[in-house]
Amino acid sequence: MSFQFDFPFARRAFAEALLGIPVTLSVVLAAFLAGFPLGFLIARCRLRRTPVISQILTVYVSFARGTPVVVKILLFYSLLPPALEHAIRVLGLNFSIYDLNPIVYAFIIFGITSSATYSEIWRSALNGVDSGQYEAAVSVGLTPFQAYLEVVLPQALAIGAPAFCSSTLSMLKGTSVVFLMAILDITGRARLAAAMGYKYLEAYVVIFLVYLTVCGILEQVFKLLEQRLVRFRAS
Amino acid sequence: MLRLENVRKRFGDQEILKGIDLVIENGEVVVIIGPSGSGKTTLLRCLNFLVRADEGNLWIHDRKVNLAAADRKTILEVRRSTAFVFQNYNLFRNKTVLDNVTLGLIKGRGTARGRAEEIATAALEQVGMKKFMARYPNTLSGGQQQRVGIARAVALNPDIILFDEPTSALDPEMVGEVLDVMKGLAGDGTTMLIVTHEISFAREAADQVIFIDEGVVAEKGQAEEVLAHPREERTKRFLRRLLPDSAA
Repeated sequence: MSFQFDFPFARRAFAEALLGIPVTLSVVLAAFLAGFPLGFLIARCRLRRTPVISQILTVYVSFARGTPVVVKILLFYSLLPPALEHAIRVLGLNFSIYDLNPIVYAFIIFGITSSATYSEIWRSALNGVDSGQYEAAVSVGLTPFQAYLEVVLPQALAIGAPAFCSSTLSMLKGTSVVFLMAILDITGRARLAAAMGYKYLEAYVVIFLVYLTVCGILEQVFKLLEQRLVRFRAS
Repeated sequence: MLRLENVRKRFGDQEILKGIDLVIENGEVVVIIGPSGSGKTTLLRCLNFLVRADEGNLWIHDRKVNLAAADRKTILEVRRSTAFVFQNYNLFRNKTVLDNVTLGLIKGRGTARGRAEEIATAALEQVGMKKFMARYPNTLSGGQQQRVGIARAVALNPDIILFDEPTSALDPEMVGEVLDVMKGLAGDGTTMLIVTHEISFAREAADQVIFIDEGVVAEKGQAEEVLAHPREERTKRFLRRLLPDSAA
């Protein structure tokens, strides 16, 4: 093992890691697309205290938020495929679960986690909108749905924007554990390169920089979005 | 004509409204006065289904609506023929002054945007807020916000406008500008039901004054009659507390 930083290797590892960016982003995107609306529905049910469903969701949220993603991956990844395989055999379908791209598991696991996390943000954001806003909206003849769409949601989004941003960024960073399922995301690609060249330090520095850059860019995107959402607060 | 019959509402073990009857003719200005906690605001909110009454009927457009059991569609229809001015203005914080006024027209009543903006501009002109059209509510003073709140109600051209203590949250120097707008509306023949503590406004602008105490109509009649020559002892006591210098 060399103590010298191997720049040519780092460059190759960097190129490898870049190939992992779409994979990392697709996990984040899938989790966002599933978790954002799901989180809203969970928050609404819990805020309205819908009987039974509300209690079930409370348990669901504490389960999803109270366990590390790594543990969920280890558990799901060893539990789900045999279970699904069994189900498929019972149903008589001609399909092998082991052909399934493991990224699908990543989508499911991060979808669950993010729906719980986002639901807590939705809950406080919806609570933060004065009830008078909804009342005024229905008083001018809007349906409850329109009142939500036109008045309550835009204000809740503005309240929740910073928290949505930071939880999405930490989710992005959290996806680095999907290499445990042999998914070639940023971390997976770089680790593979490292293992082939026995140069771990270089690879880890590369991973560090790539995450820093991707997170930085995403943060700026969120900032721009947030500025649009809170336009009405500026004087 | 709008009529309320036997409106009842209880919160927990407290009976807030114990059977209220009320008749408002078209173009009439009716002022409701009474001690805090007497149920005035709850009555207004029941009428617009912001609070669900336990019992009671509303006649509007010669149509009988059960306040306790109306379905969604009926509720929407009642809300679309009434308008509400809130104590805390409740302007839509995420919308400009103009959009605050047009929202109900465009989304609630399906008015075309161009036409809605014409109506809204006229309503804002009427309350002296036309030049603030592009501003957001949080850049306006309380008095200005409440005037927009009134324009938002007026633009809908409702059968009746319900005012829930429209000046109670205002700084004293802004009360006048809002009351002036309301007097203007009264002069134009707008039907209004107003909960307020502004006795001198009631004396000047109201056709009918209703004194509500402990969930019942304790006294009602011509404004001058009730305010200057109350018959009931509790009306007298209430007015004395509100106007320590007056003869009442």
